[in-house]
Amino acid sequence: MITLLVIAALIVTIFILYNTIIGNLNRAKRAWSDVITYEKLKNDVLPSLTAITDDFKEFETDFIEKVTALRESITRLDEKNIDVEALAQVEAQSNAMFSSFKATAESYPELGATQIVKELMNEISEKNENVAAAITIFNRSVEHFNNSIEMVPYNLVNALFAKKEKLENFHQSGTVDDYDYKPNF
Amino acid sequence: MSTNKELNQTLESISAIAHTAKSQSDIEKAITLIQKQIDGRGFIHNNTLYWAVFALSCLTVLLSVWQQMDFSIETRQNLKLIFIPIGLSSLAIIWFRYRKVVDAGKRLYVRAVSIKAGVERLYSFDARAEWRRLAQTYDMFNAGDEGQKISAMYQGEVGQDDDNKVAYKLFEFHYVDVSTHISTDSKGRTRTHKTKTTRFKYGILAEFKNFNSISINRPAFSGKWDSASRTFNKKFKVRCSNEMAAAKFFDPKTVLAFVDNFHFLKSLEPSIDSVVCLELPKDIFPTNIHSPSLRQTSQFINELQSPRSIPRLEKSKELLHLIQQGN
Repeated sequence: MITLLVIAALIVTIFILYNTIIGNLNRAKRAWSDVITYEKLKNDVLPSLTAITDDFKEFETDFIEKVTALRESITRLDEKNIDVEALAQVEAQSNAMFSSFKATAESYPELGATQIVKELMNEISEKNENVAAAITIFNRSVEHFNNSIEMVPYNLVNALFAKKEKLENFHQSGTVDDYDYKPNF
Repeated sequence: MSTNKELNQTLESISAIAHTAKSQSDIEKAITLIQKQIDGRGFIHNNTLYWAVFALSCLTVLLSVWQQMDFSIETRQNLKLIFIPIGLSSLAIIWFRYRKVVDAGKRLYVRAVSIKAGVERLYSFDARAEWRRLAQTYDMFNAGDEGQKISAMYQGEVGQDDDNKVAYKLFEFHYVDVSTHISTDSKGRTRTHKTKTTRFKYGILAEFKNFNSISINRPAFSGKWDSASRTFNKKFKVRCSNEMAAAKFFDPKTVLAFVDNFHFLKSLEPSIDSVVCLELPKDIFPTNIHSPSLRQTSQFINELQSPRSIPRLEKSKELLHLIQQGN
């Protein structure tokens, strides 16, 4: 009788741990999907940016190329497939495009004071903030999932039943590489 | 004029300023009064007479119990009956005088803190009727068994321009929980004991333009919504009239702000006409801030000249601003 009870308790524990791992993976996937959704919302602003370069000659000639490259990269992002490298590329292009837009607006005060440029700046900034927040939530979800497949006794359940791989955190290339200090883990 | 009379007059003037002050310049007037009082005797009553009466009472009571004294039993009893109340009354007077100084200082300091925080105390409301009115709309006020009332209220505004301005009221909700315990002794007789516990809840009532479809940690709606953040979902249970409204309001930026900056929010409940009730910790309320003692006068003046801010209240104002921006 006691043996049966122990076996039942073990099976229930395995079910709970297994479900926790799957729940954490699904949450990380949802967080990724949110990142991509908000990243793709940037597409709403890109036509306005293209139009503005036609109206104002102050923009550098390669600005339109930056906008086009960003649009193409955003299209390649897949909500179902977690690909942090593709996201890093989009973020790098997005930052480059926004920096260029901001620099031009600051260099030409008449341009910067235009209502449409101000509105675009606010809109891009709002979208960037949302993407940054979504990435933070994604990174926290990934960390939680990775903990749940590496820590005892979850790692045993994962190795035997769930067999899930560690997920990769998102980090902006170039931000960490510039530091001299490298942690030894 | 006797020093005690002079001190009492100063305390009354300080209390009057604490009641009516509208700006820091009014507080400065109180500081001038305090400085004048320091030049006199300071903020300690002359209690020599009462200490002497207390000492004499103690001595008499001691003599009445000392067997070597040639007193009859009746005299001993009479002495105790007369001098114990006299001694205790002397102590009580000394205590009340001490409280008078401390309370006047606290009232003034709380006023200075609330002026700095941009909130004004409201006095003209019916505490019990206000609770009844709120309890009809918000679940938070359906607590306690007796003594429910809105015991204190402040009003303020957050936001610069008219479009973003939010009028809000800070409130303190007082209620009493009554619990009954039945005990049985060795002879099988049962006894009923009633325990009354006074409790308080604190929060903000704020009026928005259009925010009436989301609640947090209150089952105001049937629909549920959760975010991609595990921490957010653990801390906040979001209910909504439609998921679209919740998803639109809780964009990642807002979710992250709730997790990192507004984790102290206990609950949020809207009314049909977009007046939102937020339940918050007690340290948002000006009267709960630690006040320096008026008896340590120079430190009191320093703190009065630059009163502390209420960090939780400032954060709560940011939350109101965020809700206003998001709807």
